[in-house]
Amino acid sequence: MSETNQKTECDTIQESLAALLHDELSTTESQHVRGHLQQCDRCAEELAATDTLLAVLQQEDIPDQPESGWPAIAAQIAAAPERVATEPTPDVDTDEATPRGRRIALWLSSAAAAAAVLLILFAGLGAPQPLGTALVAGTVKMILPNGSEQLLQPGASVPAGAVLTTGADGRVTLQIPGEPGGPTTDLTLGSDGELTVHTAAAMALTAGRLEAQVAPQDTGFTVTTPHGRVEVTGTQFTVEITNATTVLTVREGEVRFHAPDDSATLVLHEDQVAVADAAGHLLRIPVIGPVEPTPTEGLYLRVDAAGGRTEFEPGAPVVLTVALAHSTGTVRIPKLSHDRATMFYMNIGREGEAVTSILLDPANLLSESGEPAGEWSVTVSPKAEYRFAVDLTALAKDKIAVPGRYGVSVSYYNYTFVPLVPLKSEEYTITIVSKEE
Amino acid sequence: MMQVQEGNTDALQQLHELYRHELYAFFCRLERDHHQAQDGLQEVFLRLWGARSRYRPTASFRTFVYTLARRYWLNRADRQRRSPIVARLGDDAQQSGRPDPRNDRADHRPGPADRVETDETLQRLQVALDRLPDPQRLAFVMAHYQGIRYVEIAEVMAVPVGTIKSRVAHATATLRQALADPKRAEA
Repeated sequence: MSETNQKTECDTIQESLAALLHDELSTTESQHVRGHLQQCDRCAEELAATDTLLAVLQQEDIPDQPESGWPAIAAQIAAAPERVATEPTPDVDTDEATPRGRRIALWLSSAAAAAAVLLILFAGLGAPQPLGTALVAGTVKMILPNGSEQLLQPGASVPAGAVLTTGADGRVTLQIPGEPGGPTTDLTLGSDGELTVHTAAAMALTAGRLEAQVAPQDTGFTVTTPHGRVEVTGTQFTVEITNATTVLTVREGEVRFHAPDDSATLVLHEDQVAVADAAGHLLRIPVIGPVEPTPTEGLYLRVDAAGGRTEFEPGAPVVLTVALAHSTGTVRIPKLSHDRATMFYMNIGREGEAVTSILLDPANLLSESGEPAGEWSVTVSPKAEYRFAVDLTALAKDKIAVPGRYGVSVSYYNYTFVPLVPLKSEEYTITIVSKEE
Repeated sequence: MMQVQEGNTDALQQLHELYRHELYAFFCRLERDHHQAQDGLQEVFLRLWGARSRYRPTASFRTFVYTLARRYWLNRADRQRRSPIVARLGDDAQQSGRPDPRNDRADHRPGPADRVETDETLQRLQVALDRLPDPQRLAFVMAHYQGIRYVEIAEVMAVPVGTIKSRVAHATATLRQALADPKRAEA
């Protein structure tokens, strides 16, 4: 055995020592490692040192748990059972700046404060001031600040403090004048929606979908939902409340999306989408293909080897590239990581058995020029083709040394809690040819 | 867990009683700050309650709850890196004059000189553990301290088992260096 091969074998064995001590090797693997250890003093010493390390670490005590903590949990659930209960699983790995109880308290207190402010405003204003006019289709109701309710008529004035509700067949566009001679702000509330018009520049959407074309503003125009706050100074966007989340789609310009307690803010631009869930987590979501209606259309992956080679000698470098591109539109992939929303895997199998599975690390992501992309966020357009360079000999040197045909597939996953849903997959075959053949 | 899905808070309390020591220890191993460990335990059970409709019997409860714990800790670790002033247990004890529970060892430990040396060694290893990349740190803590099987850790971290093996191996190698070469560990 050459010195190089000896090093490789010892490296492989030493990487298995912790697993051996944790009793995590298969019988075959364990026998192989133990067989090597009987013949290799260096690896046997490594095993002894690793064993000592694990034993030393076991001596570390942890402080006693001072209290059960259950009463605090029970109190928070009792205080807001539905709000806590409707929170989705935190698939969205975004910032969690505020403890749950404090966040609930903030939401409740801010809502109460807003209600108090409105009461004070309306008490002092007397007759509500008209802010704009309504273009109405179908059934649309308006509840005035004094509590009176009326069917909204086309061309009717909408005052500050009014609540607009649309039926299943309803749709209303509120036109708010801008600067003299300038464009108006047009807000269209779709069916089954509810919009509170606090001021000409402050709305609260509590149900349905709002399409907004906001005229340039000196100060921010805001739309608040139970899950977040949208702030712009003039642009086009859509806000929709659906499945206990708020989905924001930016059509033009720049939009800021704040968490309810301002613990996090996303800045979004044209064709970008973000979602806020019931707990106030914010997440950019990848837009793959046209924004609507098919989110996965157009993305493709391609596995390739330099020069089109498919046959490699054992021990020779096997470098494949995985091309990620888009056929028609633009795909925004925020972070390629198992800890985030999307990830890419290369799966390698041999004669029906899985050999290994490699997470395509962002460190392997190359830009068009061949340099590391530097950031994990990439926007893949029809003109760009991003590549992962995967050196199988480095990543799976102990897995693909045996001559034979190996299948390679690459899959793009969108992370959800229980299943990993493959969105796209591409297959490729390589052959490791024995030198003797 | 089925009863929790139906909104039974008594069942949630039973799960809390079953898992609270284990999860508290998990957070203590990661942070060694009992206040933060207590917060983490509370947050995980609130998330568990909020996410109960998403639980599927196909996934083990332990995997489910550790997935919540992992995500919570990663988020908090990210946040703390953005706000680097973090009071750790040792700092807290020094500042407040309260005893550091890490020094409150049982009498079966070796003699005083050995004890000081062992404590220094442990502190050095703790520093090295803190400096590990988050995925390695999580995998190592779950595998070594929590005794979770690699296959379950792989589910929790949504990566292949081979990746967990690799992460634990890398973490072990780094800690071995810290144990063998104090200067390198402190660099």
